[in-house]
Amino acid sequence: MKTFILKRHSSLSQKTIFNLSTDIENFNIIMPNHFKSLEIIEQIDNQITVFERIQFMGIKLKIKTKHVIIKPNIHKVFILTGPMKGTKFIETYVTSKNGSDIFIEVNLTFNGLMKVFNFLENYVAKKMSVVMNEFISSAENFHSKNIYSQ
Amino acid sequence: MPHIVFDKKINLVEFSKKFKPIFIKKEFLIKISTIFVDKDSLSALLPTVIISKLHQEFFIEISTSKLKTTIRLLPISNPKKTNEVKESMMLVARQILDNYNNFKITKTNITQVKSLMALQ
Repeated sequence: MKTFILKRHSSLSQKTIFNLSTDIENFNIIMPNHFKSLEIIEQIDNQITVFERIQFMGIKLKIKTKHVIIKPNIHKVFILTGPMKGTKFIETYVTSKNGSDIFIEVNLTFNGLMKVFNFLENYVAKKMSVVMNEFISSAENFHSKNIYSQ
Repeated sequence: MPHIVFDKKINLVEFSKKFKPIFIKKEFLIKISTIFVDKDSLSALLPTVIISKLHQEFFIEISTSKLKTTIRLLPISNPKKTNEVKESMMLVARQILDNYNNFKITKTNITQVKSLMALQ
């Protein structure tokens, strides 16, 4: 298992970026290149189970995930099925000067067909860092189109 | 599934040191910047990007055993098998042939590579 922390800054307020990140139903509109579809299959209080079709490093995966949303600033994502079962992301959104800081603690696990990526952990971490950059810019663009309001 | 098979075992660690990044820009773009070798040195992955009508990211896999070395697409990455994808595999094969002149291609289902075989 590989564990690492990604940190980014956004010009959006903590509340706005947190709301965008946890808007599960519409997340594929913000990140269409990586999230092809998200279907909520169960919601109990702040825990949402989702069937997701994602694409990462050119690899298409169908996975079930559990999202735990702890307002106002924590979003946990657990991958429950598929070759990345056991992987988890803990996202923390903090108000900072001129916007917000986002920290993502990533715990990567590869099983089955993706076991081959165990020796590519650093490469995968780098690719995730690129995806995080895309998320920040997509979220800021999305927000600037006034689809969401603070 | 496209593949290219050589008649010998390759030293992947040595090949990874000899590997030259590939960047081809014609009416399409092929980029293969690096190679990763696993800890037992029996397989290697080359992240590949192709921009043509489609933008495709995938991995070319080189696996080796006592008697042969095979280039194929990592099954989980499963790109569309366009001519550009096959050409990227051929470019990796070419680097193997350029570095190991005693290697021979024994089997392939890629038409472009068959022309390489004819030169052997």
